[in-house]
Amino acid sequence: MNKEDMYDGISGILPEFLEEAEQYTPVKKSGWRRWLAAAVCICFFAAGLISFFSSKQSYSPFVVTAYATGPDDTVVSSELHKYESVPVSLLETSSGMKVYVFSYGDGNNDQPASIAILSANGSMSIDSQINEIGHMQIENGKHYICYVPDVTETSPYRVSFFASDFDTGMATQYDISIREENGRAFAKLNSMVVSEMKSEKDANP
Amino acid sequence: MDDRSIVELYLRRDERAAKETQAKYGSYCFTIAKNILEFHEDAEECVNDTWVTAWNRIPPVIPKSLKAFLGKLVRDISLSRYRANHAMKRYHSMQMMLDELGECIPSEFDVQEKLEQKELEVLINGWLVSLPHVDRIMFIKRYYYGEPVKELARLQGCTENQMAQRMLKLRNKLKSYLAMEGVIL
Repeated sequence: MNKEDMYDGISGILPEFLEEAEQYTPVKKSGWRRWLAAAVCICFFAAGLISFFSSKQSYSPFVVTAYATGPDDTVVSSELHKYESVPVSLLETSSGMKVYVFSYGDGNNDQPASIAILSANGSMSIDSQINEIGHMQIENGKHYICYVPDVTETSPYRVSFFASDFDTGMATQYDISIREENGRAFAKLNSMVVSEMKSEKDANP
Repeated sequence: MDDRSIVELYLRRDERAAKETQAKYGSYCFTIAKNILEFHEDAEECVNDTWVTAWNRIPPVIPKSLKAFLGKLVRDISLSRYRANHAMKRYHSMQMMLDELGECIPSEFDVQEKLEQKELEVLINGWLVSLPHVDRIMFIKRYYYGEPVKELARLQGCTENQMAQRMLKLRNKLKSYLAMEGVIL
């Protein structure tokens, strides 16, 4: 055998080894700054994991939407994200109430929409009479929370409600504030706390 | 286009086969040829010859891995080009690689008969399996893909001399392995 025979022998290297070599990216040697950055990332990641797996966590399967009157009297929707303000408007329901509207959806389009009236004192009732809110399209599978400010109440209003996910057994409590100024209103999601739903038996052993 | 569809084009004698192969593996084959032969025009010619050879070989050959098949073809053609031209042109990379591979051959004292290429391939793959991950990759990059030692050193963040020493150790390991396995070269 000669060196050219060795060269030919190497031509028969298995495809898996060739792929491995092609996809190889070396681990770069890093200085102390990279180690520090990596350590910080790990800390944040660990904190996020702990937060995620703790019984009160801030990850929710739902996205809450707020509604406002837009140009030409159309209704525009905005997703609520923590600490961000989005426009909201008082919309008139078919029953004559003027409400601030929020919604969350479970994506189950087979189910009809549910519309709940939330009053300033925190009481909530499902109103099956309402079939229209402003000029909004009421979507199947969505839960609408219509907040009715009390006449004696002053801005900012605090809106608090639960959204339940029966698939995962988790419930999310949303805390939203509505601020009115200069004829306009804005909603801000202050917090969302996710916790395990408890049955009556669990709650009262 | 996935490999299976490209091979089907060859089997159907559809002329799009070469075009699709070139689109997918053109730069891959060119890189191998250029690493080995250094000269751009030689590498291009080798790659063009690779498409022709692939067209002539498929069928009856139906490659399990089109990429490995093409890689082997372009290496074979590059070696043929080297043999044909090395009296006139100095292919430094190829010459250096061949000299290094020559070091892997156990001493003539162990030589009894010529080993079949297939047997050698099996032994080399068996040896590669036994190597640590990065060593295997460095060996393949050097002796299959023809990457220069300088480039491997840059990839690993070491000096060229350190990488050269690493390659030397690997060649010695391969030599010992082949001698121990009774490779009869």
